[in-house]
Amino acid sequence: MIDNVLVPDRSFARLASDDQIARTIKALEANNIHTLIAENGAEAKRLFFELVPDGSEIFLGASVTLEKLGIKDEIDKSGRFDALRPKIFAMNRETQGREIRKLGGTPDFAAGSVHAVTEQGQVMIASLTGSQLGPYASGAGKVIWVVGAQKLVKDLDEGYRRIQEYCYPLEDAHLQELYKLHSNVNKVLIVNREIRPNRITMIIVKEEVGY
Amino acid sequence: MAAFLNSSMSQKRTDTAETKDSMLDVKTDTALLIPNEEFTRIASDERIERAAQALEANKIHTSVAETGEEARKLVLDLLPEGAEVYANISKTLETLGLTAEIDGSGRYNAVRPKVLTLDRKTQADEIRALRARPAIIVGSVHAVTEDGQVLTASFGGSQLGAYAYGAAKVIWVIGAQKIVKDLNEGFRRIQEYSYPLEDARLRATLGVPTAIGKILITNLEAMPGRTTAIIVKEELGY
Repeated sequence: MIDNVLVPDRSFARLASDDQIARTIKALEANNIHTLIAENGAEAKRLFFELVPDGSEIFLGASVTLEKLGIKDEIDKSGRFDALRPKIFAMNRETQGREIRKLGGTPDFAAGSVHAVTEQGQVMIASLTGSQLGPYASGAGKVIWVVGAQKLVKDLDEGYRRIQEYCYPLEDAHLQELYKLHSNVNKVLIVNREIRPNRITMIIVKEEVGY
Repeated sequence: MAAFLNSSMSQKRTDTAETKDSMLDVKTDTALLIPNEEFTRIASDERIERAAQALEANKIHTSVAETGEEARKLVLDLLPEGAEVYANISKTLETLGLTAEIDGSGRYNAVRPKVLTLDRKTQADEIRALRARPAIIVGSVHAVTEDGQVLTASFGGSQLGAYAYGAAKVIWVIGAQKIVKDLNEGFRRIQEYSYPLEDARLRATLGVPTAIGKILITNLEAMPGRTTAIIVKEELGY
């Protein structure tokens, strides 16, 4: 889809002001997305684990944010949770496609990050495969998003530009380094409003974390 | 790099009592729910062909049906007897008799009738699971751009997961009035046409308003052969 040189537009790495954060939280709450604020990554991690009881079944979307905060390791390796991602990775994509699809589709918890949050409280998530979009949209019992404050944008236009001009080049480089694969903005989910109150919680971190 | 949602997305609407910054503001409640009939025009053969080719390039296999009857036949050809099939709530499927065929004929392992026997309060988890990952989901969408992008809006989002990834196969039946120039026009179509009609339907049947809770944009299907679109040269659904 994109053919020219992939240079991320660093203007999207700037943290939102406290004013913008406050405006965005108010709008998110009005859209039934419960929002917490963390001063730093450590506080975000603490808030995250207060939301997930030991033993919970949990699916993590691929997320640099969760990796950087140590949340991914804690979920996948501590043994305290029923972590779905390691199970899925142990399966054979060719022969067990159906089981993989079913296992990840309706977890009790889905967690990850998003790519943009507008001042009207809309949330945008882009994906190569779409595997995390179903649990986020409706499949998961509860959803937790950890979002660096650089991801706050004015509106959907700016959010889409953020995905194309910043997230996509960085994710493409990330995937090339990890798997020698290219990324693409194949599917985008826009959440304008959650119909089930208390289903989605967002933790906004006042630090640049993830992209 | 193209910014797909260009400036018209954020232009203020001047035709409603409440002007909002975003075309997608879901809180425009009852301000003005008159469907914009410009979105009922069936696309020309040339535009249908352009959209079909673009969809194919985006790995969404596409057939064009001359009539609803032909579309119905194409869908049924894709459904093996006994297959687990979820027929999404869709005016298009109802009009073509596909809802009745899938849910009522007994020839399929139909998901929707099962969901309806469950209790929303005590069996919400089972309902969520059944809807999220059917073997085959059949439904419609709200807009297809000439670049082969597909827009689907939803109140609760239950079909979006199945469309995006959860279903092994996806079949969309799309009236040719749903073809739009680009994403901006697609968002306008949802807001100005699909939303008022769906709102009226829900108020009439269940006594509640709707909202554009979630929107899925499909730019490209990662799994070849997974998604099929059937464009019908008739005004079908909304």
